Amino acid sequence: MDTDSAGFAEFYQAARDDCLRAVFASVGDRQAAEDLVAEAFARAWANWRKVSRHPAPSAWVVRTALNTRVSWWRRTRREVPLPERPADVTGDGSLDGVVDRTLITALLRLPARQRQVVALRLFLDLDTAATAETLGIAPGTVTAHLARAIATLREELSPAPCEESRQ
Amino acid sequence: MNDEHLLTMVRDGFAPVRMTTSATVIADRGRSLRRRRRGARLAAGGALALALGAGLGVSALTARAPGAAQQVTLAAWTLSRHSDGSIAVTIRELRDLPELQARLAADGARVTISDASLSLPHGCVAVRSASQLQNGMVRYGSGQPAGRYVLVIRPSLIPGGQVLRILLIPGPFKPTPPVTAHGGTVTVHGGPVTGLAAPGVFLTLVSDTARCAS
Repeated sequence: MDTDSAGFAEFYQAARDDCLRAVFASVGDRQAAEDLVAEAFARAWANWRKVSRHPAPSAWVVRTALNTRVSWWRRTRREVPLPERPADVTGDGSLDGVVDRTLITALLRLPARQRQVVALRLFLDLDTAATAETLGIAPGTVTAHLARAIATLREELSPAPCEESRQ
Repeated sequence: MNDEHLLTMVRDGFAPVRMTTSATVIADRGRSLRRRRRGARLAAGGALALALGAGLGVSALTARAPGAAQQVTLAAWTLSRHSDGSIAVTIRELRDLPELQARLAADGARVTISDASLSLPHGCVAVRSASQLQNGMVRYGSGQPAGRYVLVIRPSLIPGGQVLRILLIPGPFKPTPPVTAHGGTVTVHGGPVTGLAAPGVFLTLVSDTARCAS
């Protein structure tokens, strides 16, 4: 294994799960997210000399995965609206048995751009400037998207007050 | 619930999500992408080499006459007079052709050049078609850039009493029914047209008469 391959393998090992979580949270489809991230990592492998010098290679992978989703959609033109209840929700209320249904449903109710901002901030730990650069939007827009997303998620995910506390 | 708590809850909710695709599968796909990219580069390089080769062919054609003594350039065409008496003409657009013909006449080239019609003027007699014009009187660049006409004319080789008629045909030439020259001496046929010297260039030698000049 040459130096490039070793470097990529190390990167893949360290970044793959976070990239998958970020894309999964953005697109809402576990299997599609896996396919997109795999394709993005393959492109990173093919362009590793360039990607390895990127200030945030994980962000490059996620951005590539999201762009790939758009190009796949343009090619196939058969995207369907995200369902209220994701198709692969299992009987125990989790998605693929691992993600809480309430959580993913709340995320899917956010506008796509807000989901992407949350995903990059949460799973890749990008700051505002890096998130803005990755998504090609202004830093102020990132801040606004994040604030709105948090407000919406708080409404969706905060536990309802129990009857005793209301009385 | 404060912001930090909320975001931690979301982050923790996704913690069990793990990538199942192996690094080997990723690398295999990466190799495939790299091969495809290199193939595309090679193809593009080959196309560029062909294009350069074609361009060099034309350049060589025009460069056979050592050193362009004078050059006239309009947006539509460029005329270069070489020291050996040849004239190179590059036509980029089918306009300002009367000016080009006047320049050629001023340089002693008995040439008519137009994009008007295959038919000869009434009473004009065609002497020879392009298939019989391979004596160096006029050469044309094969592989010339698309949409351009490149010709090198040697006025001294145009027989006395005759005029080289150059007809520029825009776009690909489509075989047509026979076109009969007025006067009936020579008929230019459609299909594999003998007079079609190069894509879009039709050459004929006609009598240097007032009838042919109209």
